Amino acid sequence: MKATWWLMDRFGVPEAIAGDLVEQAQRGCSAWWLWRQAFAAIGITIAKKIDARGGVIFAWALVVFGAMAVRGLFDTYAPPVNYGPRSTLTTWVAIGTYLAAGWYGAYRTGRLQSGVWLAAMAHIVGQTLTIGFTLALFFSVIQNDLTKLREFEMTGGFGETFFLPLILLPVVIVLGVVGGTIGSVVRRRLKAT
Amino acid sequence: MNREALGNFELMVLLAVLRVGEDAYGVPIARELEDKVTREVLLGSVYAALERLEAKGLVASSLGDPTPERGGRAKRYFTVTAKGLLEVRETQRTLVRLWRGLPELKGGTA
Repeated sequence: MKATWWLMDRFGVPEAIAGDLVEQAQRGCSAWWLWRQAFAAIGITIAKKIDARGGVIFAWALVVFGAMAVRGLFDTYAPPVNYGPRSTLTTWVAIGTYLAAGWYGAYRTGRLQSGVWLAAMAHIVGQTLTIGFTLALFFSVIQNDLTKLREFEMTGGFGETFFLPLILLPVVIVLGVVGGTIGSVVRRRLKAT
Repeated sequence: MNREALGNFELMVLLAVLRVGEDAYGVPIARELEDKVTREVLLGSVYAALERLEAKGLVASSLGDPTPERGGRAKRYFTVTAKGLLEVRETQRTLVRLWRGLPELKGGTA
């Protein structure tokens, strides 16, 4: 039971809904019923947040997508001789973007969770757009050119396109936590002065 | 389609609020719906519908006092506004007009 209340608090389920579920739990409803209701309430709360903050999420997703699209275009049309500096640069751009998204989300709302949430959503939406872009680039340009096809496969191919975003999600969440912590601390300090 | 038009579930929630009366908060509203539609209703969906109705000005809400049996959480009470009542009546009239004279719906077996 405690886990249910903890999860609902973490995800910002409104007090009235949480209270109604506590009341039903006191009246002896089954644990299965309670979990179903709690998960539905959490899902609806998340959907409402996305709906309300869709613009902000999309703006950060565009930053992620923009960086990935530029990298994809360079790899296709002007592949570097040495991929080391390009990888270092894109890694730091990604780290900076997710830290900044985490910072922004937490600074705006004063809640660490909002920062983590924004960084994760920017990653998911941005990488989804990137997959679409990569597929378009592959079928329109890369597959018709043997040199470009070799470069594409050398830089990870579809394995990197589809699986790297999933593997990176935990890292993005950690960066969101770091950025979000900085954002909420800065906000508290500024409010205090 | 007018975005302000009542959805099917919204109309049911609005009617449930009217049926419950003064003590209309999440639990009794959901119970009233479950009694009448004879299937499980998600409290989250009921609140989502109530918030949409409130945004349209069809219901109003107020917070009660936090109580120990609710883990110190307050109840949110809902009442149907005058605009809400008007909307329910108008929807009923429209539905009745559409219903009337349909041979497919006569007999009540299908």
